This record gives sequence, C-alpha cells and structure tokens, in this order.
Amino acid sequence: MSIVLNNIKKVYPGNKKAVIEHLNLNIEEGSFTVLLGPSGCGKTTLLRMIAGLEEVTDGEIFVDDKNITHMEPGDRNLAMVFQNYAIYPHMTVRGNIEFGLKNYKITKEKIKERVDSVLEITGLTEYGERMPNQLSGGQRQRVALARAISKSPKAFLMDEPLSNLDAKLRNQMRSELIQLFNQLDTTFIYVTHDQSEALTMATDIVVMRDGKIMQKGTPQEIYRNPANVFVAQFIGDPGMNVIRLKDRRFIGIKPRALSFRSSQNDRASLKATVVTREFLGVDYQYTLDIGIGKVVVRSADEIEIGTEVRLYFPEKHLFYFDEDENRCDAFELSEMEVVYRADE
Amino acid sequence: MTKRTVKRVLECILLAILFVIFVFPFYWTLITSVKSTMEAIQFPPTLWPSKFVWSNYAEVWQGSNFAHYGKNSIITSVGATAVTIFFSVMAAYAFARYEFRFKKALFALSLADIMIPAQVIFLPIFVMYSSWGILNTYFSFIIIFIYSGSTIFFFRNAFMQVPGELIEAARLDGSSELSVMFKVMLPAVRPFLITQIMLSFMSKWNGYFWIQTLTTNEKIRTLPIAMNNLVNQTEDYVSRWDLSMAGSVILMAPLLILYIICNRQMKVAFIGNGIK
Amino acid sequence: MPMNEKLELKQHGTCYRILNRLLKNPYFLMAPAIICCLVLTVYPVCFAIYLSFHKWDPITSRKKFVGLENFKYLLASEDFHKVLLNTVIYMLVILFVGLLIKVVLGVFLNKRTFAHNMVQTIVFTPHIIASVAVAAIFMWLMDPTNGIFNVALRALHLPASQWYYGSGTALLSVLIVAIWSSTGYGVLRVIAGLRSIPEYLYEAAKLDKAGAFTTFTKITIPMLSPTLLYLIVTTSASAFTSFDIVKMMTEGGPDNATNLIAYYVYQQGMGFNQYGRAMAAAVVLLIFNSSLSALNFFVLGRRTHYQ
Repeated sequence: MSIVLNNIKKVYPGNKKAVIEHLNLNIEEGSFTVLLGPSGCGKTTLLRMIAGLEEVTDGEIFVDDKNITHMEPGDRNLAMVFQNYAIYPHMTVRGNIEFGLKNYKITKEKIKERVDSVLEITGLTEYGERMPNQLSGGQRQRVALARAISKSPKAFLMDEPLSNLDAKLRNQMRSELIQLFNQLDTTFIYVTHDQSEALTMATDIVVMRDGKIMQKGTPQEIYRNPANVFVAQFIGDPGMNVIRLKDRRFIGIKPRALSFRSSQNDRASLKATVVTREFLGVDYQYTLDIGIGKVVVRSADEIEIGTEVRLYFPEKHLFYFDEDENRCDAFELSEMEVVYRADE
Repeated sequence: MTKRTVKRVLECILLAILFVIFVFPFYWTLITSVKSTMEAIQFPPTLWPSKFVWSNYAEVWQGSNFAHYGKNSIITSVGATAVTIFFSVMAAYAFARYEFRFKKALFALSLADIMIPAQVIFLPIFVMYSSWGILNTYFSFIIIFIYSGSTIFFFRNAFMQVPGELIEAARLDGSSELSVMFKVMLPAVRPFLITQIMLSFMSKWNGYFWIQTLTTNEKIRTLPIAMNNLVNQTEDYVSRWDLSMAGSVILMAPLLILYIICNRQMKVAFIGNGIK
Repeated sequence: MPMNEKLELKQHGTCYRILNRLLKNPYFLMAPAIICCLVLTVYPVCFAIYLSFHKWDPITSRKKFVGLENFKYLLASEDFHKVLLNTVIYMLVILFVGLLIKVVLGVFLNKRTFAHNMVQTIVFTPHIIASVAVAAIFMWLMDPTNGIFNVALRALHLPASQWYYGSGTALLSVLIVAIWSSTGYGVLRVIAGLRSIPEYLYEAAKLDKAGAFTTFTKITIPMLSPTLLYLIVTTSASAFTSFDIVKMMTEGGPDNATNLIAYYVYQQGMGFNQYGRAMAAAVVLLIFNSSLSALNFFVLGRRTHYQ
C-alpha cells in the first residue's frame, strides 16, 4: 500500500506561521520509511496527520489512491505505536490488544486466535493476564507493538517508539523491528531524531527540517551523497565539516577523510591547532582550531593537545555546495580561502 | 520513673481522653437507641440497657415513616451523585482536552458556585420552581446537582494528568467518543473517580439545606428532615430520645459502615494522599 | 501467518456518527453543566440581588422597588446586629479555639503507631456523618433534664446548665457541636501537611543544632503555613454558611442567641416571607463569603506553587 502526500500544509490553530507547507511525499508500498530530523522539524506532525490525529490545513493524503484526508482516525485502518506506548493502564495485556479488535467485523473466537498469535510473535504469551504496571519498559513496548500488529493495519506508524528504552534494549528492539518488518510485509512509517536508528532500519529515509523535506533516499544515498549542507552536517557521527568560503560557497569533508598526513591527491591544506582529544577506542576524535572556526577529525594518529599540525583535504572526499547550500559540481579552490564553518 | 516513661504515660492518657470524647457520643447514641423510653431518661442513667428494646427501630422505620424517607434518601442521593459525576466528567473532559474559544471565560464561569453559598440562591430557585410548578419533585431536586464547579475542577485536573496518547490510541482503535471518555479516560483516573463518587454521595446523603428549602411537603423529603421531625416530636410532654437516637443510627449507619470498611480510602478521599 | 489476513472495519450508522461528532465538540460536552450553572446559580444570584432592592409579598406576588430600604432596615434592625455579632463571635471562637485544637491534636497524633492511627480514624468520624445526626446526638447529650452532661455535672456537685435552651449558653453549645464535628478534618489536614514537610529540613536543623522549639517555630510552622492558611479561610467561611446545626438545635433561638447569618436569611425568607429582606441579608452574606472564597482560591493556587 502506498501513501501519497499531496501539497500538505499545516497551520496550528492560533498560530500564523505554517509548520509544514507545500510538502509532497510518496511513501512506497512495503517500505520502511523513516522520517528523520531534529526536534520541531514537523516529522511528528506529518505522522499524526497521516494517522488522522491532526487536521490537515490544506492538501490531500491518499492511501492506495483513496483520499483519506478527512477520514476519522479509527476508519483509516492504520496502527500507531507511541513514544510512551499509550497502553491502557486499566486493562490486562490481553485486554489492551482486544480493545482495538472490537471495532472490526470479527468473531470472538477469531479475536482470541489473533490475540494468542500476536502474543506469541511478540514473546508475551505468558504475560497475557498481567496488568501494564507489572511489566518492564521493554515488555510494554512489545504490548504496544502487539496491539498494532493484531489489527493487520495497512501501515504501521511509529513515533520514536524506542526512545524511552535504555541503550541495550534499544539495540535489541531495533533488530526485532527489522525482523518484524520482514515478516509482516507491510509499510512502516517511523519517526525519529536518531540517525543511527534511521540508518540501520530504514529502506527509505526522509530527512526533514523546518517542515520541509531536505532529502529522500536510501540510507546509503543519504549517507554517501548528501544533497545539501543540512543533510551533510546532520548525518554521520559526527557530521560533515562544512567550511564556508569567501565566495559564499561551501566545501564539506567528513571527519574521517581529513588527514594529518599529506598524500598525492590533496586538494588543499590548512594550519590547525589541536584543541580537544577524545579517545573512542578504535581511534581518536579531535577538535581542531583552524583560525576562524573549528573542525572535527577522526584519526588513529596520536597527537597531543596544543600541537600545531597541518590538515590535508583529499580531493576525492571533498563535497561542494553552492550559495544556496545545495550540492554542486566541483569548483576551483585557489588558496584555502576559509572564512568560517557554515554552522557558526 | 524516667522522663520517657512519664511522657509515654501522659501520651496514653491523652489518647484515652480523646478516644472517650469522640467515641462516647456514638456509644451513648447506640445504647439509648435500644433502651426503653423510660430507661433512656431514668436517673441515674444506665451504661448498659437492662433490656434491649429493638422495637424502637421498628417504630422509627414504620411509625415515623423512615422507610419512606430512606427510600427518598436513596433515590435522591444516587440520582444526584450520578448526574453530578456524569455531567462534570463531560465538562471536565472538554476543559482538560480541547482548545476552543472562550475557554478561559467558560472555565471561570464553571467555578462560579465555589464563590456562591446555597443560602444566597435558594430563595430565587424556590420562587422559580414554584412558579414553574415543579417543587416537590425528584427531578427538580436532582437537577440542582447537575452542575458542580468543584467536581468539574477536580476531574479536569485528573484528566490533565492522563497522557493524550491514550485518547489518540483509542481513537485510532476506532473507539467512539463515549467509549474514549468512559472506557479509557475514567478508568485511567479510577482512584480519583471513586473518591469523587464517595464524596458526592456522602454530601448528598447528609444534605439538609436544599431538601429543606426546595420542598413544601413530605413527598420527596429525605432522612435528615425525618430526623428533624423526630427530635421535635414529644409524646405526653416526654421527648422520645430512644426513637431519636434510633433514627440517628439509621441515618448514620450507611456511611459509618462504609467508613469502617474503607477508612483509608475515605481519609485519602477527603485529605489527599498526604495522610497515608 | 494469520496476521497477514486483512480485517474489515465495522461500519457505523448515521446516528453514531452524528453523536460522535457532537461529543467531539467541547461546547456540547459542557452544555448541560454550563446551562445549569447559568440557570440555577448565576441567574439566581442576579435574581437575589434584584430582589434585595424590592419589597415582595409572596402571597400576592406583588413586587415594588424600594431601593436601599431593605438594607436600611437591616442596618437599623437590632436583630440583625445581634445576628452579625453572633456570626462574628462564632467565627472568632471556631477560628481560634478550633484551629488551636486542630494544630495541637494534629502534632500530637502525627505518629504511626496503632493507637495513634486508631484515634485519628475516630476523631475524623464526625466529619463523615450528617451534621443533622450530630446535632441530634448532642441535643440528647445536652438535654437539660435527662442529658448525660447535666447528669455528670450534678454527680460532681456542679451547677447544671441549660445548654442550648439557655440564652447565655446556647451559642456555646452550638459552638461545641460545631468544633467537635469539624476537628477531625482539620487534624487530618494538619497531619497531611506535617507529613509533606521533607525530612531533610529536620536533618539540616539537627546539623545546625536547633532545639525542639526553634525547629517547631522556624521549620514546622512556616512549612505548615499553606495548610494553616487553608484551614483559616475555610473555617471562617463556614461561619457564614453554618446552617444545619442551628436549624436542628435551636432554630436561631432562644431570643436570637444562636441566630447566625445563614439561618437569618432562611428565617426571613422561608419563615417570615420577607423575601426582600432575606435577599438583602443574603447579599451581605455573599459579599463576606465570596471574598473569603476568592481568598481561599488564591491561597489554594499559591499552595500548589509552594510545594
């Protein structure tokens, strides 16, 4: 099932400014689409509009060519998993799952059969009669998933479902979600601000900022070929160093590509001072002062803080951006005319 | 004796005194209610009835028609509690969960009765009711309680603590608004709901002023009025204290039993969680 | 896998859809409460104020605008002076004596032993039951001829009292009943307040070598002040609305000795059919009471910030 968003606009009542405007998006059938962006970028609003929890100010939403823009949330046959799970605290695990099924044309026996099998899928079989307050965070998360799965919805909508879990559990749930996605053969739409979640799980990533889509593509495309300065800096840990030149254009280079050693195809080099050094196990992360701004370098070389070094920019790792911060063809760099980093 | 023991003993004495001050009136009520008329007023008084006269209760129940007043008490208390809770929940849900024009003004208006004592409005309501010819009806008495500012206020605060996602999840599950309100929201604030039902029922069961002012005959009058009739009634210039006390016991019994069964919940209901 | 089998949603009728639409409208949700508020609270208040400027004979239903005459009557009426005086005395006694008892008992009973707990429960009991029943019980205890109070006094060779029948002792009798029945609630409030004071404050005081008295005046009382303010305001407001006990025990008598403003309004209106005067007194009551309620509301509002 595909979801098409057509020229969506969202203005919250009482506000003048639109949080989302002229947004077009095509979510392919069977994709695991992640809406990624910093908080306040409109990704959650977008998800909630698809769910029907938020009015669409202007534009249309189609699911399988059916206009659902003004349909009640309960009539859309979508399931949502919330950040705080939204489990009904007064119902057992079984009750929580059954509650959603009562609105379908389905017999009592079928309901029971279904609940049993989702409990099994999510590994909750022995917890069916427990109350939510007797469950751990991870188990509640599974209840929320079970509740969503049980409805065989046209799409799963997930709003930062893993952010309340601790790091270890989060990694585990991540791989379980991937498995689930492969099993269920349904569309997943997943909102997060955590790029590693996006990169590991998604088949498609939609990077958003200020209610606009900055780039849409596979994780590989987004990571290797950022379309603009924002995506370049947002993706990667740490993000790309983007340096603004005197002619208002930009060059970017990933921290791992910057080098303390010269090589054949260096495009430029710069004098820099080591300001901080963090040991990360495999290598070090350095912050260097390049006179007007700072850049981040990942390197296995050991250099003391305060040392003055020369930084080399290998040609094949350079990214070029035009005045509008969009990717462009390589351009001539005369001397390294650094003005300051784009984000400063 | 050490200073500590003295303190301990003094503490016990004080506790005992308090016990007597607050238990004796109830004890005396209970004892008097099963004494004969003469034994009740005999001198010196007996601390234990020489003969248990259970017929006092029968006399109050039938002779003073407590059966009739009791029935009215149950009808009006249950009815008034139900409408208070139901309509306050609806209004509180609106205030807690929706944004709309004039919200602040309407909310302020909904708290009006906190500032306005019943003594100010009973007469206008009496005048209105009598001109509409609806005095002495259950309906007109119960509708007084549809609106209760404090109940709206308390439910609103409770609802505001329920995460909004719960409602959204229910809507995505295709629940009707009624089932969102009564199957999701109310159970989510269950301790609060029980508290409010208890407080509301109690104040209606014990209520005296409204039933006294909005009725002109005995048709819908409740136990507190019957109590008033009873204490003012004499037989051959002898006050029937045995009957009055039996009446008091009947009036108090339901709430006292409730209090004995769930005194912790009731204390929490009145005072809040600090008392646990 | 059974989950891959798609389900079909139930279809709802038009009625269901219309009702659902309505129930999503906040104005519809609050309509019953707000309409009743307007018809049975706001309008009656306006009507009461309107009536206070009129002379109205309920038998003939004739209304006449008399301006401030009702208020002038009250101002000149010795009965009303007495009523105001009674109300003020009642308020002061129940405030000072009542509050003192509540605080002392609250501090005393704030322990978690079985005995303390039981006495807490017992002290609170009168709050649960109808004030009408409390009044009846005390009428019996205070009965001048056969009541146990006088029996005890005589046994101790002390002069018996007329209690609520005597014009000198009637107000006192009413006050005893009012204090007896309202103590428990205040005590539990005080205990709740005491228990909400964080333990570390006392530990800090100990580290500062503060004595028991200093600790009480410098930590307990200030931290308890929201509770105390609340009790002060609600207790004083109760003086203006106290009706049940007076109606039951004395009907304002003897000789207006126990006539409080709430009962006076009722008496003028229902007893003497003086609607105008009753409502003029009610306006006076409203002014006192609503200013106290407003104060209470702000105190309560502050309380939440305080914690």
